[in-house]
Amino acid sequence: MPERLTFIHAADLHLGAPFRGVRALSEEWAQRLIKSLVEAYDRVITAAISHDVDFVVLSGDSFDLATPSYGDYVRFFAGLERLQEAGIPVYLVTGNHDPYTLWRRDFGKLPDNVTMLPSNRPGFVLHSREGRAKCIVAGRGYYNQTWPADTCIAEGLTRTEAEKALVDKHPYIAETPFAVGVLHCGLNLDCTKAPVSPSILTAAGMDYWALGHIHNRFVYPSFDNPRIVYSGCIQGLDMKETGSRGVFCVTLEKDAPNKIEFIPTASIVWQRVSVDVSHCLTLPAVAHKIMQELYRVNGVAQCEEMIVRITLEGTTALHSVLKRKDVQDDLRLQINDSCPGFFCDTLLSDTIMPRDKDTLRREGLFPSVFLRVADKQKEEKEAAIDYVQSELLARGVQISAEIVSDIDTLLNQAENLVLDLLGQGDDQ
Amino acid sequence: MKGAFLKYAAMRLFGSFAHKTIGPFSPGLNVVFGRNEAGKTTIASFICGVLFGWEEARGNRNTYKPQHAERSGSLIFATPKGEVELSRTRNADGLQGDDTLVSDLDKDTFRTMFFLTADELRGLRNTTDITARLLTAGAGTESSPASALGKVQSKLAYHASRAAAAEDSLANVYNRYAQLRSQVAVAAAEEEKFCQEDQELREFETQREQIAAHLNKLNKVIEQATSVCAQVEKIDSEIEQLEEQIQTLQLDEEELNLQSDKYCQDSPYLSNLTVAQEANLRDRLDSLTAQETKLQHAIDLARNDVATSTATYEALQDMKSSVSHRRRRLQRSVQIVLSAVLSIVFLGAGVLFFYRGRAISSLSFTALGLGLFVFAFMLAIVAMVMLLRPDRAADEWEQRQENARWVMLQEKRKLEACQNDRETFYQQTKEELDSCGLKDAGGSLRCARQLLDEAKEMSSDRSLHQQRLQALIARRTSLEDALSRAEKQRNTLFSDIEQILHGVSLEQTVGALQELISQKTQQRSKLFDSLEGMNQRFGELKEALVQAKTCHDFDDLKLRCEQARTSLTESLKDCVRHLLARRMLESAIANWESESQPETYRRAGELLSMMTDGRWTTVSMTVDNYLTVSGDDKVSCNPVHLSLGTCQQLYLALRIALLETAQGVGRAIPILADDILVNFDAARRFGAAQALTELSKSRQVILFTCHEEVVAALQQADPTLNKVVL
Repeated sequence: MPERLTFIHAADLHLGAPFRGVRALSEEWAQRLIKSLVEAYDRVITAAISHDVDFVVLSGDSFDLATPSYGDYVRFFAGLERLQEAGIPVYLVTGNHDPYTLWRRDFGKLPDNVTMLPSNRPGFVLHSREGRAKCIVAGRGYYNQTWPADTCIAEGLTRTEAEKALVDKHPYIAETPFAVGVLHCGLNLDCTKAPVSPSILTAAGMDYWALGHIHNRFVYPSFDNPRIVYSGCIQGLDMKETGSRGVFCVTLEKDAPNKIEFIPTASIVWQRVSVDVSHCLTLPAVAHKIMQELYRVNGVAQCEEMIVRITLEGTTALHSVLKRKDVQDDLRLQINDSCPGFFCDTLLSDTIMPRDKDTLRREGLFPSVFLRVADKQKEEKEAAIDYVQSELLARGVQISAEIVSDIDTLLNQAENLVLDLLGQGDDQ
Repeated sequence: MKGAFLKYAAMRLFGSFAHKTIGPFSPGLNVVFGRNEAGKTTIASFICGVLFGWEEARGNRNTYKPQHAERSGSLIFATPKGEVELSRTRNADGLQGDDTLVSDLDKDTFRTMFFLTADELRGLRNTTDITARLLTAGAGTESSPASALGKVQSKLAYHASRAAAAEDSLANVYNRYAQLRSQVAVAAAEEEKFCQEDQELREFETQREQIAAHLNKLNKVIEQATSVCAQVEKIDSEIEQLEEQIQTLQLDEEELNLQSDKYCQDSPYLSNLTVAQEANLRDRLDSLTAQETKLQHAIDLARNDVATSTATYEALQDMKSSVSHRRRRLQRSVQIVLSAVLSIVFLGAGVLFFYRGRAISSLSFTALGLGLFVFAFMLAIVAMVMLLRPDRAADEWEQRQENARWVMLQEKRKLEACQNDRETFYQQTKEELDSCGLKDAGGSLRCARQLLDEAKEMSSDRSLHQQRLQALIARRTSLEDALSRAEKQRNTLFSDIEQILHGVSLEQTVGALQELISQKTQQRSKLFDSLEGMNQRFGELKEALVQAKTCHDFDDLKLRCEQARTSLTESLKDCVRHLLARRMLESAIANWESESQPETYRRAGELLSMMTDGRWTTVSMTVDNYLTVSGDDKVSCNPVHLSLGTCQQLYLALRIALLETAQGVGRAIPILADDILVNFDAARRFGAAQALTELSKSRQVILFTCHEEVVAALQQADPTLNKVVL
């Protein structure tokens, strides 16, 4: 029987993360959300035990920079102890959100089955089972929140270096069947956080690279034989982290392609749904269309519970109605009442009033002047940003990066807002 | 010149009017003349109310609302397509009829520009705003740009508001977020504290173990020190007693030593006899005594034997002639005779029978005769033998007598020998006793034994003395040993204590021990206090951490903070959206105005010149957005420095110019002027009437007045004016 190794590849637990982007949660859903992260973590531990894996890899960011609650803190260590009781070792590296400097005080609490790979140098450890060397685990974590730009985080993390480092203690290290690398890096997906070229990793002699940092699942070169893998986060942490989340159960077999099995762990998935209501003539039709879309999205979410942000789009005569907050709240209420597993925290209307801008431009009336001015201002983004910045500063508020990045959208929305206002009766 | 114009104002119920129709009006200049309280201002308010809604019937203002009835009325417009009626009853029902006639005008613009009163003409309040309002009104939109700008401004003002009602204002949301953020920071510090307390708890566990170990150690030290102290006290007491005893023993010993010298002086030989020697000597004495006894016994026996043998001999001598001896001799003689007789008898019988048998040939008689013969022969032999046999009894008697004599002699010899032996024995004994130091015994074994007994007694006494001495010495030695042991034990106890104290040297006294116990007890007490405090803190921490473990307040707070952050982002975006919208609108309005404003001020100058008969010829706006007027002398003047009449003329001129310029605004709506010329002198009144006549060429003008001269001036300026008398 060929040599075989199975392990759980998890990353970016972000215990204590504050769930950014939530808008208006009900008390019940707030409680569900609060519990979701630790529940997801418990599922990771349960998956490791039920799959009877050789070990568990945590590829950084086990904790979020935001201080975790004491309950989360205790739960994390309790999970590790559960693995210890099951005889499953854990190899972890620190990430940019939970760098080594923040771990110092917790070293004493790490159970004996947990090995934290170093942050100041490449670290190597030999995983053995029943006295047999099974896998070299190599990795390196973050020392503090920033990885120096002039240093490659994967430098020195090769099988050759690992064998050199371990040969004194383990003379037969070269016969170890597998080698797994563990890193918290940006690969070529995030150039700001320890970027590494995939070619460097593939040339390092490792059978599998368990990476963390990117919250979405990513596999290189392919699912048929994954070599460099991001398992993604175990629970979506904000509205942008939509879709199913979980860990990979990795199986390495000698002379066979690597296999990964996705294990969903999220308690709640986030979804952002854009619903085109152009063809809806009434509000019930809008509500029906929204529900259709929600069921469609939930069908692929691999999770019962879903928090959804709905954006209504399209050109519709209902634009002015859908803009009304009371109408939006009513629609939200209908959605939340219709299915206990769904919760719409925000319903936005990005619909457009039916209008022909070209005609307006041709008419030569005020709208044409306005559109001309608006076009010009939309082109002069820097001026718009300067204006917004000075106006906000006058109000004691600083401009945010999001505003700067969204300036195009905001200019368009401002234009539509004015056109909407011009198109409204004075009594509205 | 005109499209639609107001032809009639039909008041069904308005103020004190019921079912009253005013009109008809012409499309040009109209003057409504009436006395005071004829209803001029009421009509003007009615037209405004129908077009833009009745004033809310609140407060003490006259809103023309009849008691227990709704205000109601219509305006009938003449249009190229016929008459159009716009009517209103309740505000909630809105304007009934073809409202496109008023779609190019908003209420504020109407009240500012279309509804002129003497008071309104005192200024334009915000000139820019009004200009913008006017110039952009009727810009081809549902709402005027100024109105839209107003809404944008209003929204921006909302965002700047800190009023509680403005819940989602940027300022409030920011404050809310800042508050929550600071709460999160506090809660985070609290959670951090919990984590530290968790660490503290773990350290406490170690410290508690250490303190417990230290306490155990202290207890052990105290226990041992107490035990040692008690033991040392006891040992010290023992040592004291032992020393006293030893001293006493030493005295006794000295006394005994003195006594022992006395023993040594008496009979040194005997006294120096060892037990073995004494035993040997006694054995020897016993042996000698036994020997003496034996000799004496032998002498006694010999003497007895001599006596016996002598007696025996003498007795035998005496028994020689005795009866028994004679009887024995007679018996012998009888036996011999009898044997000889019998043998002859039997021989005779035998021969007889033999011959008879032979004679009769009887074998049996023959055999019997032969047998008797044999028997007689044998009997003769026996008699012969008996005859021939010595006399044994006599021999024996002789022999016995001889023997008795021999024995007697032998015994006598033996007695002598014994007596000699005894003498020799005595001699030897004496010599031996002398040689054994028992000279005093004079060879007497009894004396010797007595001497020995005396010596033994003395020896015994001495031995006893020695024993006593030895016992004393032994006791003393034992006590000294005990003392030594006690001292050793004491030293051991102190060294044990010092060992427990990790080599800290300690004065080997009970006081030092008690001091140590006291010191350690104090330490223990302090440690107990410390442990108690620690246990209390441990309990508090444990309880707090157990609660903290299940508490989600911090997560809840973080979530609320994030929701506030999202609200802040949205409010910020909304604010930015409105800022950008305002910027676009203002720029657009400025552009829109810039195309018409110079013409407006030029026309206003013309009209003002007309009204002031050339005194003020130019109206302009400074770069600072201040309105100025100047005459031919080019001296600029701020409107506030003008007289009331001139000021009113200026603003009337400006309004007429704006209304002429903004042809697209309120095209069907009449300009209502409520006695605006009353402050003007005749010349300027005429000038103003001319200006209004100019305006009436492009717009319907309805002037309300109660002054005949005003009517006259207007008629002078426009003879074709339509006069409506109330």
